[in-house]
Amino acid sequence: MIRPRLRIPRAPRLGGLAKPCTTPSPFAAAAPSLFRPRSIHTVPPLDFDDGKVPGNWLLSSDGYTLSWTNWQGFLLHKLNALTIGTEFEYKDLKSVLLETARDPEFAHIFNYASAAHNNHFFFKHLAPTNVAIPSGLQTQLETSFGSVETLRREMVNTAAAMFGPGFVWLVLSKPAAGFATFKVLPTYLAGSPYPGAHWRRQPNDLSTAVGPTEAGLGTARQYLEDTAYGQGRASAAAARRKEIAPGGIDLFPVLCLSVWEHAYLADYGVGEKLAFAERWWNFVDWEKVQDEATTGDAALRTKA
Amino acid sequence: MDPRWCSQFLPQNRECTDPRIERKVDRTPTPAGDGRGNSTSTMIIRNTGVRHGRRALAAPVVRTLLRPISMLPKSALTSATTATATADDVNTKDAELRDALSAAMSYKRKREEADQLKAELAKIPQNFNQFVHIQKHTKGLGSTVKSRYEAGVHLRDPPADATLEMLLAAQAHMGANTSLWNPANARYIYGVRDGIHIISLESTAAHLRRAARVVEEVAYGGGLVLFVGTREGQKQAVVKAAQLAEGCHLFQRWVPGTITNRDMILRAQSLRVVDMLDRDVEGADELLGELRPVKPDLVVCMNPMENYVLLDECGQASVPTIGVVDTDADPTWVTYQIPANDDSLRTTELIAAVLGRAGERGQKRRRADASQGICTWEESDGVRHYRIKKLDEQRKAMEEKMAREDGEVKEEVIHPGDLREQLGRQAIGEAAY
Repeated sequence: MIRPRLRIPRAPRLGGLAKPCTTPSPFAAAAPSLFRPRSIHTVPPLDFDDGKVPGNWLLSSDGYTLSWTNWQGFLLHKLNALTIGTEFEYKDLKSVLLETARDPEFAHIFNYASAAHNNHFFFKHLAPTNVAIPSGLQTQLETSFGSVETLRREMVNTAAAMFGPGFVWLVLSKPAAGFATFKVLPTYLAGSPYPGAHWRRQPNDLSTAVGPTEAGLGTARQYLEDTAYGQGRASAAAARRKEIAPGGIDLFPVLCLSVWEHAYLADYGVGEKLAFAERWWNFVDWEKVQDEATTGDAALRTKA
Repeated sequence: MDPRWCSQFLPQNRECTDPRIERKVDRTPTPAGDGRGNSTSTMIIRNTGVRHGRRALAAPVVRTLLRPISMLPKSALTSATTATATADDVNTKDAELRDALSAAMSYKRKREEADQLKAELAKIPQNFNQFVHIQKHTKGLGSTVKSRYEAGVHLRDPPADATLEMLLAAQAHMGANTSLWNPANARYIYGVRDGIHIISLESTAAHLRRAARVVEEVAYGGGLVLFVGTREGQKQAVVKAAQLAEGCHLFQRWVPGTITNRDMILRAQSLRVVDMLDRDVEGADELLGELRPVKPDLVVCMNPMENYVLLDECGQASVPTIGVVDTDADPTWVTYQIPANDDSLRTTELIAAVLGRAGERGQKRRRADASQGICTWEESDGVRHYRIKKLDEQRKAMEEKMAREDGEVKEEVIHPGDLREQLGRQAIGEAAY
């Protein structure tokens, strides 16, 4: 009898030949391969699936391979490894992130799910060329921010000011009473802007936002109150902040900018986050933003 | 009932003698007929109940009176109340007014709450539309979820070959309990785990590929392949394989004698005589009446453990067999073993798909060769016997005819072989060759 040899597809050994970071990683699901492990979550298709990005674009081909093909493939590979055999096995990615946002026991699953979702959100709202802001959307943005230039500066400077990885979001905020307005929301690491995942919104860097000042203590108190409320301790203030009416939608995201280092490192270099953010503004797909930024009712405030 | 209303109908100073009614008698005389003489109202109410029966008090109150009554606190109905402002009643009157006011306020608050609830309910369609809009744009973001296995995928798109990964995913390596094994299968076993024998998938793959070559060559040679799978759930796999290989299928019980006693059991089945291009041969009606029912040229069995009779008949009739042999099955029952899990339907579908595709390849090659004029098979015994018989009959007829013609016997040297060939061609047609 032939003694069979066990064949397991192995990841490349550490310390082997140094290969450029832009070649497809073993986790990248872009090209089908006999030795790729069978995944449930696979990298979704984008318009530039053949790896050929438009000329003179926000990212080069190598940068796109790194920050989309390889990074998204890695995140989904890890997510599959963590969710196979659990209750989240066959759920779609957004459901996974909403269901794991509250429990710290599933924080690792939330991290990968939310990072993958946010990364796709960022790439989905990029256009191959400069797209002008439609007039309807421009009016709405001017109502919320005064001018489009203010919004641009707000988003770009927030991105530059953030230390470490994260995302900067443009969200449409719909309070229970009053008009809907646009707002800028930063989320650190893999924080999520969705109201259903508010436990993991991570809008503050707790290392810098918390301090001996009044505002710092307020931030800390709020964070601790909310955490305690999540674990069952009653708190009226936290309840007001956290409770949403069933079916109530108080905000949803319409645009995001990734400030994870790998997004700009390959093409802009170390420390060039501001240049990347400013160049990103030229490639935002404003048509898509306008499509998504509707409220269904006429309660979106515009300049009368 | 308004105590002021009923007092005018009753004589005053009438005592209530019913012990069940709590008495609070006030004997202060008051002028009769005074509708507002309320100092005896308590007594009056209770006398009313006694005099007119409980029905008077229990009768349903007119609806128009309900609202004013409900606005009054309960104490107004049971205790002595006066509308006239007396010194004793000032405090109670303030309290009553306060109570009435608070009742009115709570009523107003309830109305407001109801209106608020209505407004919230009215927002639901808006909120739902908004929710649907958001979900449409964000729900699928992040990944494309693919299901790992859909039942029947091998039926819809049969694979031509099975890799080790596919066999493992189909659970083909799971043998039977170690206590039930047949030691003759030791050569196929990789090891033991969780109380069962694990079949070596490399041997499974090798044997499957060999069996596929057998099926392909039998189909290439114009043979009839019978796919058998009598377990529940194997029907679709077996039918699909037979369709691909243009053979026959069986998914119900094998009737014993279908090969060895086929002259009886299959006598009602129809036959066809075809040439190498699969066209029905002309003028073969007499032949069809004489031919025996066919037996298969190859039998592929998915569950040999339940089909001993079939496999035994195949052995008797020299029909080669292929069988999916589990670790508890007898490998000597079949000619070509495929060591694999016979309990897994997914394995059955996979193996049937591979063998079906092999048969399809063989049929395709056979037709390709036939279109080039190459016949890949020899005529069957029945057809050959019939043809020779017919040739002999024709030869005899020719000889008799020649003998009847002019007396001279023409000495012509005719070789029997040549004559047979010539007459054969004319009788049956060139294409049959």
